[in-house]
Amino acid sequence: MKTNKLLCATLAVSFVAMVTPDVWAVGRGGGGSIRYSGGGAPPARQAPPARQAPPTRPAPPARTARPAGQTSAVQPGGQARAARPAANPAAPRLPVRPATLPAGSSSVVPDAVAVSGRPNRAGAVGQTYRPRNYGSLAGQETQTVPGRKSWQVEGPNGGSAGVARGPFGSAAYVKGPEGAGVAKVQTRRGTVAVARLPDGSTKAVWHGNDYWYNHGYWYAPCWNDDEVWYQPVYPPEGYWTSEPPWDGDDTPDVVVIDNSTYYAYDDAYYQKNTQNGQEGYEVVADPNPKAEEPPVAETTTNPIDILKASLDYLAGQNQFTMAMSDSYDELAEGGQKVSFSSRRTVYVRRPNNLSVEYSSETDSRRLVFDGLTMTFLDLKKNAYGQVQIPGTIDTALDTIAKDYGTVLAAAELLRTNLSERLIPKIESAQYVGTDAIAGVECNHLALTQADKDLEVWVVVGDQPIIRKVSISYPDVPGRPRYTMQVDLFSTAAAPNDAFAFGIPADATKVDMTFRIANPSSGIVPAH
Amino acid sequence: MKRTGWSVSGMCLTLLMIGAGGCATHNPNIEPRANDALRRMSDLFAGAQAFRLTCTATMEEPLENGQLVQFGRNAQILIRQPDCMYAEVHNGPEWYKVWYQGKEMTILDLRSNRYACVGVPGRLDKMLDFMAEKYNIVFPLSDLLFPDPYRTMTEKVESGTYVDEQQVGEHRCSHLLFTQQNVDWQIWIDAGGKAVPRKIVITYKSDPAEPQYEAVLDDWQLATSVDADFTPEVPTTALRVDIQDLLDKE
Repeated sequence: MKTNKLLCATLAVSFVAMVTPDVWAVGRGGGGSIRYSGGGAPPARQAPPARQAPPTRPAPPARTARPAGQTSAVQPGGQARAARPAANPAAPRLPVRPATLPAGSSSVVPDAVAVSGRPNRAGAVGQTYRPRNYGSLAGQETQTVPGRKSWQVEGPNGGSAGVARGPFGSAAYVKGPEGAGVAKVQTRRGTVAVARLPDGSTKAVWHGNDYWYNHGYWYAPCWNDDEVWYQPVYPPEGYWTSEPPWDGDDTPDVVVIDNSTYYAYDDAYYQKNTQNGQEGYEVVADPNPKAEEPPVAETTTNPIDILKASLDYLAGQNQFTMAMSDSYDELAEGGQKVSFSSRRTVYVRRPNNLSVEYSSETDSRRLVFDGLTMTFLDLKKNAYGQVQIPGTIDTALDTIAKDYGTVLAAAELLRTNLSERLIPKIESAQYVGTDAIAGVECNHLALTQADKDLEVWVVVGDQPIIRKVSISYPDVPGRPRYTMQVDLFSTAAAPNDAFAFGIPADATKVDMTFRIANPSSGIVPAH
Repeated sequence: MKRTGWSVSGMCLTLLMIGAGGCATHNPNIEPRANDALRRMSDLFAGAQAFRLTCTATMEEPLENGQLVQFGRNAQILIRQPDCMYAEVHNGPEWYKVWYQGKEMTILDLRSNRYACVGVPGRLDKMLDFMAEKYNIVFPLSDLLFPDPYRTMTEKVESGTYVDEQQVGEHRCSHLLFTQQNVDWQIWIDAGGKAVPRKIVITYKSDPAEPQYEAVLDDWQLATSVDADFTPEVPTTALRVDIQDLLDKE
């Protein structure tokens, strides 16, 4: 669209001069290097606005979002999270992390700190933080912290950039050596507001409202905090002008729809009309509003539709095998995020056969459910336990979650009703774009829930397989992330022995009621 | 360019490792086991005159609503010390090729069919500093390309810890955690054969949201020489532009 292009070009001057422009391919703005680490993260990346919610045409918003720079006092990153150690009463954190000790001292990190800061998995009760039901897509793990609405980065040259979101849209704020200001305001319609009108703009009053036009672009005033800004709008319908609204040498597109002739210029439509004996042009409504966005494109890039299709695809399989790699952050005592990993293979044969093979650096476990009994086997401890849960896979997952407080990470993917459980909890959804996961082109979706941010990568095409899920917990100290990547997905019949395993003759049988209810006491934490 | 001429026949890493050893000083804040693993990797790279790898990375970046999401960046990288590099980079829908040879770097944007040439210092480490300072372009893993990677990587380290042994793909790795003023970084160094890094995670702590960069490194080939042509192959139809125009997006 011409309008946005022009505005972006003018705005880019200030934006680019002051902060790192955009992330360039191989690692712009600090990503990927330890040495060049001053830059932090790059400024906000624009999601394609056209792919957000279908563009309706509401009245211009009364007020646009507050720029982040003016809300830095409530900037939640540091304060909100730092103020929540109570969320993890079992894990006392060091009052200071080594990194914040005075610089310049050669003994910045005494040996004792280095050792106590070491993440220790075995017997680490009270030393690492792990939210309950980590890896759950639909479950509630943490409480919401109100006010998580802005985000700020600092650049290597003293610049900073931030993004704030509010009820009517978002604003990007930049600060650099040459000053500070709001770079742009993104309103809900996906338009960009400006602080000053372009030179040579002409004022037009219509039904008591002020408008300005300039070379075919129309603007209406909007509030940006306490300042009046201007946002591009469709010209007011019914407005009549004797002068052609386009530049002298320029010509509009002539469109004939239902025997009416329209003059289209910069996405606005006009019709010839005579008023008081004078010939002129009148602004009319877009005669073909659907042409703005082809309906096909809309359905294929609606993130909720893609998500639903992928969940329905999974729920619709009678049997499948899925091998996945998980990684998750734990917080060390000093506050550092430490990444751990595990691998799982899941066999499903609906309605009531489930088998999970789980291995990590410290554990090796199996779980088998046959419609009557769920058996857990800990291969390291050579111990097993059984619980009686007659029913389907869905009811078994419900039962162990409800009665034993155990949620198998991402086991929700095995549920047939995940769609109904998950989608109502989604507060916002964006289609980010396509991205290759292990060489397979996927649609990348960004979703938010009250207490977690979710990303899902779904294979492009008629087999919408979920290839990757990543969940981050923005309100938990350190904002830990859980990622599950699907290395193999097959709907072929599982091997015969997948759903039955022989319990070793010398294995110890343990009382599952006690064990599951007290995960720290023994076998069977999250699979 | 020819990309078939990769030669691994002349590999004599042992000799080079001896030659490179002992030049670095030990950072006392690093646990001995972590130090050993890092030193092994550093020695390997100090001795490697050429290497090739693929890098599958994600960087957390904010959307306009503030949600941090993982954007993928995949690259194939070919390096020859002291002054040659070729990289092919996929960054979502973006597709770049980068050639560096001697004193010139050529960046081709295959999507827009535009390219830019820029004069750079004639040594890899100096070139990396130049690109970082002048254009804010940071190549992933550039830390490994300095003459003494151990020193480059540890000069700002405040603590170094051996976490555990973990598997990355098919490889058993030593998992290390380092803390610095502005970043924490984790590295998984192959504990089996050659001490190549298999995975790197960097947490940018100076940012309240603590965004993370994560890279999985695969298809490693190290050699003492490489028979490759680093001459840029730019389509005749490509439009030459200023590097700033190529980097700035609308």
